[in-house]
Amino acid sequence: MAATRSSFEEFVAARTAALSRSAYLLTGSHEDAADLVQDALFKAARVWHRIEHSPEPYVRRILVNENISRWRHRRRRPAEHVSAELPDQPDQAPADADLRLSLRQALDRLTPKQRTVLVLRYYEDLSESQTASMLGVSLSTVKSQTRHALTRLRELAPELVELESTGSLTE
Amino acid sequence: MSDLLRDVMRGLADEATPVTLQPDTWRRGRRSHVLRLAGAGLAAVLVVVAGISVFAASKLTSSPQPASKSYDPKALAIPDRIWTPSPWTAGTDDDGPLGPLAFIAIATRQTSWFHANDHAWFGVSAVDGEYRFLDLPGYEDTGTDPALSPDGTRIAYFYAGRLPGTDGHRAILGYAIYNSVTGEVLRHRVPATYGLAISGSLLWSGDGRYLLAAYGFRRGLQGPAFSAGDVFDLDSQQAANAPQTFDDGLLDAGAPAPGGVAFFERGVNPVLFDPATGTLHRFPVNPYAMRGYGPTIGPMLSPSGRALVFGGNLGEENGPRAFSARWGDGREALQVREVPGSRPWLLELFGWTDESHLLVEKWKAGFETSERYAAPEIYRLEVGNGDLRPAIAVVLNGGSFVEPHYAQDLLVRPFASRAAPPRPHDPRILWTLVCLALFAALLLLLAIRRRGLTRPIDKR
Repeated sequence: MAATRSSFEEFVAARTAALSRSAYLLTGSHEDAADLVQDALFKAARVWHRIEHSPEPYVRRILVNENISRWRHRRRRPAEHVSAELPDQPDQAPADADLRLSLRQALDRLTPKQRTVLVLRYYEDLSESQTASMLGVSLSTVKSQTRHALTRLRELAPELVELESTGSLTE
Repeated sequence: MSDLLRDVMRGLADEATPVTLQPDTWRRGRRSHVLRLAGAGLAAVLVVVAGISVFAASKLTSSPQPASKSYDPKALAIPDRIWTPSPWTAGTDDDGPLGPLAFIAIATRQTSWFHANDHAWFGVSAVDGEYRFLDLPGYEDTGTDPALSPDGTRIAYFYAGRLPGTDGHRAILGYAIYNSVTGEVLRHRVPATYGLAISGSLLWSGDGRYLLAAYGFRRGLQGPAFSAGDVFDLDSQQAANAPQTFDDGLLDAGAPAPGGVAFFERGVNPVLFDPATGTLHRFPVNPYAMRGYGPTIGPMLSPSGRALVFGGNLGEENGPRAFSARWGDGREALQVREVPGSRPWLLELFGWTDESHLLVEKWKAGFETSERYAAPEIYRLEVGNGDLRPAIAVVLNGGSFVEPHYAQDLLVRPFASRAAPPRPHDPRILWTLVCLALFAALLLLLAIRRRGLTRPIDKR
């Protein structure tokens, strides 16, 4: 038991920062991210004897699924909500901080699944099949979610597009 | 867009504040794991218990049905080999009445998973030797044995219930007659303010039409009783007061007899009572001599009614033995003599198998000091010369049964070979296995579910 606990603590020490970053992208809130990571590691501790050899996939899966589950239960944001007003568009090429702000605002306006797909695909660098496996959905669902998410993102944060060539709008 | 998106996302992710994990996360996680396992196990057990309860309830609510087996009355017989039934043998509430019975006796019955009744009555079919515990409605173990009618189709017993006008006080309310063919119960309530005394006697007449019931009336809820008795006519289903000579203790030693019921008047003198006419015939005996025999079993009249046998203790010497008496046409004074071969340690006299033989229970030769029923043997005893031959083989099966009462009409017929009763397995073993299987299935389900969650992502 002592060895098991120490391996858990080693994992926490090594991976909490990375998990916190993923959680922040998934939730868009420091508080929610903290709760999410706490919950995921609590659930990991519960079954640590089984996942000790490779805990990262399990913890990330919990992180993703738990986040979607929270969105469903809390209904903080209505699904497929489309705002009538787009955020203010900057007149000039935005600085990095502005881009991050635009991205955060745009991500907040996506559905949980669209947001999750983007995080997994463009931050975690998972392939479409890996993303499908992580979310427990089909490959075609991941493709369509990604397409819809990028389309929405293009509407919500065109400044992200302006820095790229038109041809790079799609993946 | 994708490269830019990746870059901006990484920048955004770097804004995250590293989470400080609560220090008791590990302890709470492990405790939750244990609680979940315990909860899953408990849920599985509850499901099983609920299933068993529903099953048991459905069995309990089913009303008794008449015995389904058809039989030839001439083929009814006492088995030549008897077994101690399994404690898990079904009861008549479960499987219905057995039909005509060869005998009834006491054995241990498992009444629930955690409770066993060491004093449960079972019956053995005279048709095919099947065994079943007797669920006699209202029966309470008062020390008075149920009485099996000579033809094996009825069992008389005292029944108990809530005494009216009291705060739920339970008392003996009367006697009942259970029909082993139809499963019906005929109750005769004896009007008694405080109920009946717990000791009493029940005896059938030789023709099975009359039941003699001797009992005592209580003078208070806890007080002593005074004696009374009934003669119940099964044909008219009416009870008449018994002669004064009946006493609640006197009929303990008595037996069905040709022409009525034989018993010891005042515990000593053999008499024959004819319930059809109400007449009492006193046999010519020397009462002082009879006291010396210390009669405790019988008296039993032979099929012709010309001989009488009883069991007693002659001066406490060498244990109980049998005595026989015969008389001529003039019914001169009985000449009592000890039946040779009945010594030592006669356990029981069951009755006459013909005009010169008795069915008796004895210990095995040389087996004289151990527990009474550890090794009983049932013999056919020749009254004249004491010749003793095995009559019924007893298979104890690691248990024991006591107080057998045989259907008297069947004693005079040849005994029949019957198949051994099935030995129902202890259902606790089965249900334990079922619970374990369910629990294992539950764990497997959880394992599969978790494996789905923990399956490593295919990093292609």
